[in-house]
Amino acid sequence: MPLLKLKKLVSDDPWVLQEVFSGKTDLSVVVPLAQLLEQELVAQPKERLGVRLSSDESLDDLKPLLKQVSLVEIYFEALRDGRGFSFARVLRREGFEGEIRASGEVSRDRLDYLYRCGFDSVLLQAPINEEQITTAYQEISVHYQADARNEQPIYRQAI
Amino acid sequence: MYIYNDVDQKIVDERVEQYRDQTKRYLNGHLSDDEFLALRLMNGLYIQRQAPMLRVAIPYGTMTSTQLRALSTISRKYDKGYGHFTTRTNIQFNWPKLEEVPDILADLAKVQLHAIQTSGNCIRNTTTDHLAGVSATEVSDPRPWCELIRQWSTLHPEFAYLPRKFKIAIASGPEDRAATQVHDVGLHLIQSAEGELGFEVLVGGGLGRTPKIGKVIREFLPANEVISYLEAILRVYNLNGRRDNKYKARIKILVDALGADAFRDLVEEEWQHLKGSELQITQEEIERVSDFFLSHDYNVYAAADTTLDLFLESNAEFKHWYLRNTHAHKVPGYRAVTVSLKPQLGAPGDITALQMDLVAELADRFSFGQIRSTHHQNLLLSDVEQSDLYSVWLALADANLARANIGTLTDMIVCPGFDFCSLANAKTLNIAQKINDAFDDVDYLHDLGDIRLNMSGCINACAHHHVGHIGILGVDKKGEDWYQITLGGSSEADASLGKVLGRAVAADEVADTLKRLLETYVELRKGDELFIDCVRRLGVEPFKERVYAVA
Repeated sequence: MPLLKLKKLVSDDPWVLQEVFSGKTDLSVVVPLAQLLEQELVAQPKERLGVRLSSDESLDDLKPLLKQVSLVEIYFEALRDGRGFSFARVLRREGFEGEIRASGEVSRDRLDYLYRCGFDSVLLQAPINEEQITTAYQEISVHYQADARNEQPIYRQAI
Repeated sequence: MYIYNDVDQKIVDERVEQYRDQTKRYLNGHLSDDEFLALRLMNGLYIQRQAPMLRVAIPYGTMTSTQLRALSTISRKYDKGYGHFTTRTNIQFNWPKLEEVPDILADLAKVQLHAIQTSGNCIRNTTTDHLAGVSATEVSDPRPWCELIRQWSTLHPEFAYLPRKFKIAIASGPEDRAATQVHDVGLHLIQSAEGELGFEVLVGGGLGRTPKIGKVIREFLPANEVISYLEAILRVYNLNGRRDNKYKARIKILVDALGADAFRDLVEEEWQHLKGSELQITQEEIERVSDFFLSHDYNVYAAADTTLDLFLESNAEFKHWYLRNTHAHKVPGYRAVTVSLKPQLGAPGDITALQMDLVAELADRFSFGQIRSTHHQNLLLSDVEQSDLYSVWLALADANLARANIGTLTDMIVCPGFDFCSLANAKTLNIAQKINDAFDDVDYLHDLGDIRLNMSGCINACAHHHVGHIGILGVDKKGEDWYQITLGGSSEADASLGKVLGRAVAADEVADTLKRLLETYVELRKGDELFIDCVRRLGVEPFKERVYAVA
């Protein structure tokens, strides 16, 4: 699965998914939200702890735990499930400064929207090349709306 | 009329190339059916019963003559020489080729038109009062606000994959000519006691399977906060709207499930983060956009004309048309003229390429080069001098666009139905034709007065049958088309949902049923009581008795 980080393909991804947390580890682990809610994970240092939130789950459940993690992976359950976009916006507004990652039903034609909503990285299901990446992020080069990357809507942008 | 700046043009141009690339990848097999479906829908392309259907946006129903001519050219170049206007004031082409759609979009972009978000689970074209700017009773011109909302909603990164489609309408004042109470969001322009311009905000109206009248969630929203408030509503909806069942995914279901008060609390809580932020629209921007909609350079002597009265006295047909198809204008000596797309023969809302060219020419000669589409599926020349009305009438009549039926029974809103639409359960166009044949007596139609007849070919209610004074819903019963009739609906300021008259009737009984229904009205009405008022006074019962007793 190709990983894009800040619009670039990267090969050195430290994060591994652990469906069931098996105790303090030197690995950087991403655990499902349910694990984080059930277990005392304070033993795992924040730098090496991430949480995976499915678009079916409640963002409100995660909010009190944000200080314990440095990565939030938002898993898109379906192509047409757009909740993740709002999750990222709200996470940024809550002051979460760690990495926000998209996974699940995400693909090339949503890359720019994901970036604008505050996602730093995207775990894609299909291969992608440099040219396609460039196009995906540049094909629409001006935006009307404020977003997580630019607080200024078109009527406050200096163009 | 709003004119694109470089940014606006760049966005539609880039969108064309983006869509061209998506189409290419789909045809090469690099994009799955499912993925392309979502992408093409967001660009107004459906795959229909006969062929693809492309829906082009007419933002808040305003067009220039240049744009209408371009639509005419497109209909000839890529389609079968006609188009169909919808209740969202958009135009549909029923026969484009999938692989030619990018070229159509490129042609549209050259005249500042597009098909962005005319379909799909995203924010659709904002609609408004077709008499915007010319109505004497409006609080303020709604069009600048529609344009600001158009820009905000266009390619919004957060709200492109909503639970379901999302429709916004703006009323310009106390008279609601935009059906705002049956929209996901209805905005009513109002003025506060201190004279500040703002909106009353309604949410959760809608039709379809579960018709609902919208609920007020904010009595007064300062106008410059409209974007921040919409952003709050949409975020609450995107996060909380149901996604497990598409028939329960519209915002009306969420508002109902939570209750309007709880929904309002969520929106207000979200809005605390957004109000007064960078989203607040600058005074400079409001003025920039408003300047595109300033009053025309009207002829101050227009009312001095004496020829209109002479024509009205000498020509009964012209007078019929004048009374039904032209409307009061804020400037003395001017009228707004409805171009009837409801002929005796032909599908309601359809227009040929030749007719488009003619209307464009009339707009250039008599109405400042602008045309509007109405949510009743007609066109409007909004600013015609009274001295020109007779010439306009002659030209329209010659092109079969002057049927004097606006606001009457035959000014029907009708969806394309089973003949074209793959969602439909029943045909509508054949029924419309039978109604036209049964009610072809112009004096009788005028005697019946204002009646809104809306007919949908399925429960999705594209023709708003619930809010027709008379609503007709086509249903499929064991492979046959049957029609359920409702009475007493309205989409205006006194909005209400129609009540079912009784059992459904067969296709060949619809017109006769309507005849008996209206004979009953004529017998029971008091003086010049309107049909809707008569139904409201008496209820459905007396009509039901008479209609079914005979059958």
